[in-house]
Amino acid sequence: MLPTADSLLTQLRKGTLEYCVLAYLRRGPAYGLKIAQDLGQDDVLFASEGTLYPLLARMRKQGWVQSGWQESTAGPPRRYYSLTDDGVAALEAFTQTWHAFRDRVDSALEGDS
Amino acid sequence: MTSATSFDPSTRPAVVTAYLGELEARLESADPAERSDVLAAVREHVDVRLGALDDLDDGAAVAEILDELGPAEVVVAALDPVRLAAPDVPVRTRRRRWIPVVASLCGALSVSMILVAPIDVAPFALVAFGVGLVGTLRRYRDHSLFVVALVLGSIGLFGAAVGLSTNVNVGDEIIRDEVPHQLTDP
Repeated sequence: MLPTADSLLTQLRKGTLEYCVLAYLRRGPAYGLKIAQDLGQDDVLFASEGTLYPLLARMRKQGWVQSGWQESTAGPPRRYYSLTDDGVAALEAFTQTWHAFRDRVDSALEGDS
Repeated sequence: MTSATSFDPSTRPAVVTAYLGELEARLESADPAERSDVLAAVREHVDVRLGALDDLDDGAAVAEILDELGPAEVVVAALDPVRLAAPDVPVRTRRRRWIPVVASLCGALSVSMILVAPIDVAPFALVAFGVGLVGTLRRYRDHSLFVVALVLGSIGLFGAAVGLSTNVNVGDEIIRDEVPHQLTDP
């Protein structure tokens, strides 16, 4: 059975998506809906906006992100997520590994190895 | 889209309330802190989106919000991609690992008490120890057996304690009775 684009994306998202969220939060604190809309706009990283929240809950439990309420200029207060020191360290570790992994995969796919 | 006004949760459309109810039910077995986080975050997401609508009776707009959130089972599956990747995967129930250990310890303690207790408690103690030990070694999942061992072990321990207490009291009386005799007996 041939893999579909959806099934391939589902597999690729596992283990990488949380680091995309960490990388997004590196630019500054953000609330859930904003993260979901920015990262999920092309349906590549997120199949649906709702899958962001379990991810954030898990990362909060791991101590990689923290959350706090902030007043909003339009609407009710919102829960903002921000990186912790552990989150920054986790992102750095992933980035180094990812670059090596990505280069190796690219080489394999292009037949260089 | 996100320039929402304050939204009263009690005005959520029925279809949204049903969605949130299903999400809550599907998160039943999740870690309490994670469940609470996910529910609060999804409610906030929905309320901000609903607050931006001109008309809450616009069924198509409300359906679009839920559609972009994704089915509740998909949201829950994202909580643990490995365990919950397939919705059909049975949810692991919480195991009380302490029960076999306590049952075995209780049985072992009551067996050791046979040395100082009336022989009446020996059957309880031996059965409790045997059941607890075998169940622990063979990793029985059915805790009812361990509860039986725990009860028997407790009976053994209680019997041993009563026996020990009786022996000590009797011993005290014997000593009290004997001391005056020794003093007055030439």
